[in-house]
Amino acid sequence: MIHEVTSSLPKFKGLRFTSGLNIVLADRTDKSEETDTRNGSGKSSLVEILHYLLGGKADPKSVFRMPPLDEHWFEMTFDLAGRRVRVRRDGATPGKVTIATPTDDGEGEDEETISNEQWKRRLAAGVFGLSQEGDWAPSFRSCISYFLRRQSAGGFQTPTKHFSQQMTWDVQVNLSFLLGLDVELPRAWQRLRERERQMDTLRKASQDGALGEIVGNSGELASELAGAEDELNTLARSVADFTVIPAYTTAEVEVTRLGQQIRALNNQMISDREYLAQLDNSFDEVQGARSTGLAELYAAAEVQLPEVALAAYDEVQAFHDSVIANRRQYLAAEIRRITNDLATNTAERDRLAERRSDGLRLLASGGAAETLFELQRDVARRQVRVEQLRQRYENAVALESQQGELRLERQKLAAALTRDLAERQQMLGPAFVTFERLSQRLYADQQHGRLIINATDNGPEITATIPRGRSKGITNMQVYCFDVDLVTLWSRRGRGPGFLVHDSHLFDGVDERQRATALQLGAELADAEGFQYIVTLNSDETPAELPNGREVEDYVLPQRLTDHGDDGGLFGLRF
Amino acid sequence: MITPTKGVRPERSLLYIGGQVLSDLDGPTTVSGAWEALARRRRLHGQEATVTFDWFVLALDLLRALGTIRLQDGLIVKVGKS
Repeated sequence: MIHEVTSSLPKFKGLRFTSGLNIVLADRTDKSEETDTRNGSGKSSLVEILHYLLGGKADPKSVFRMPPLDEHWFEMTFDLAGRRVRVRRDGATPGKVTIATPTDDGEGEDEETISNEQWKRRLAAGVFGLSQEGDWAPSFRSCISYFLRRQSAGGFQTPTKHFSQQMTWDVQVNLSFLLGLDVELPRAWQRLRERERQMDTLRKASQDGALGEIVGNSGELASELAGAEDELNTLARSVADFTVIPAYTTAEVEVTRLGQQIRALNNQMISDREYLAQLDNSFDEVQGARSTGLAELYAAAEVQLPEVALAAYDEVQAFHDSVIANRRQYLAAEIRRITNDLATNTAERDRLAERRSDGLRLLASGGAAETLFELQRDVARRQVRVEQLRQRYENAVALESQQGELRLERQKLAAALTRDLAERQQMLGPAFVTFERLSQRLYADQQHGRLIINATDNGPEITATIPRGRSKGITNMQVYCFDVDLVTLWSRRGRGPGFLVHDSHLFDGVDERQRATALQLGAELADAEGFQYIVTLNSDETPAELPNGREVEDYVLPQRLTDHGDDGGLFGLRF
Repeated sequence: MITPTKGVRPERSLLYIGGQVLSDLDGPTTVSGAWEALARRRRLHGQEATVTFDWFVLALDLLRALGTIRLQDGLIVKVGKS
């Protein structure tokens, strides 16, 4: 239980608590409703101070680290694991807490300053007997928040969440711990969710890949991959066998030029052969020229040209022979020349043809460097594609097998949880009964509320519901019943914080009758089960007496708060 | 054979052929040159009557016998009127 809360603030309203029900009453004036400030009377601030002293975060924006509070310390005396402990924290050194514990002889105090982290570990062990650490383990801070709900964090919205953004695993792990279920099961679920999340990332990675294609199934991809690999190998082999011809273009031009020369030579040779045939004919003609014709010419001349003096026959005969000889020489020379030409051209053509076929062989065996680079680029492109396909294929295989595994894992976990819950049925009984009794006392005219723990394929699903009837504020009373149930459960175990703090906001919108009953129930159970129930209330919302006739005033702390005046609130100053 | 007769067509007569040779003989010409010039000329005029090489030589012989041409260093040249 909490004994005392004080501060170095000069006008702080130091609060002394007793066992059982403690009501911190704030007087609300009419004036205040218009100018209601955050720290009007300091009811909600009390919860903040308790969190602050119980290892709560104090980030730079925390009120405890800003003026005017940052120069002051806050202190609380409470029972931790059966020993009275005084804890002090100040805004100047928010990472440290000072702990004072009674010496073993009970005469003095041991004071030490430890880090807030160490303090949280000590609280975890002392309050809840928590020693587990590591991922997804139950934590002191999360567990204690069910006993110190904050309106500002949305702590009154649903019984199972102490802040509105609380993650499923956080709820499952910590409530499993608080209710006495197997904590390892919700932790296993969270590990499973982490794997599923990774798998989602994997799936997204496959989808958002460079190809932007939807990941196919592994069968299709295996086939596509094999095809792409084969094409790549074929291409890679031809690149390996490729001979680079340094002056490929020059060689190509040369071969073309040689081809033209060879054609020109062939044409020349054809006409030469025709000419040679003509020459041969003419030569034969000359050989066969008759020499007898001259005598006939002279004979005819005497008849036909009697009056002409002809040159001497012998002279003309010599002329005749010379002409024929000339012609013969000429033809023979021509024949020799053409024959020579033909021989030369044939040799030249053969030589050119040889060179040309060398060039062709060269060109056939390889290609230009650019061609090789082009091939290499193609190979590189294909390699990238093959790599992408392989990646996608592996992803697809991983996805397909993991999807199955994870489905199986969820089913296994659900089965294990069902078994676990069945085995713990007897142990859970009191928690169920307490919740039902509380709801029954609050709403006698309605169906009873139920605390239900279901084994779902998403882990334990804990619900604390009271069927919605005519009454207002049912949700708040679900929270009330759940919290009282939890603190009762832990008091019976002889552990836990030993206190439950309810801010006045929990009773907002709750029928007055239920509000009075809730206070009475809290007082009864606190006495019967041995825990401390601290409630902050506004005076105008507080019933004068409880259903059993007890005066509410009996439970109200002597130190009253008010939103009237600058020093009426808990802090004794406005800021 | 020199002049056209009953059996010799005018364009085959040696005198006619000799005239044709002379017409082409602008400068010293080889025997083959004169022969080819004659063949060209006759083809040009569409004269189909075949002139064999020995007939051509006889035409040259006639021109030589008449003193119109002579051989000079193996080339046929016209003999000047003087």
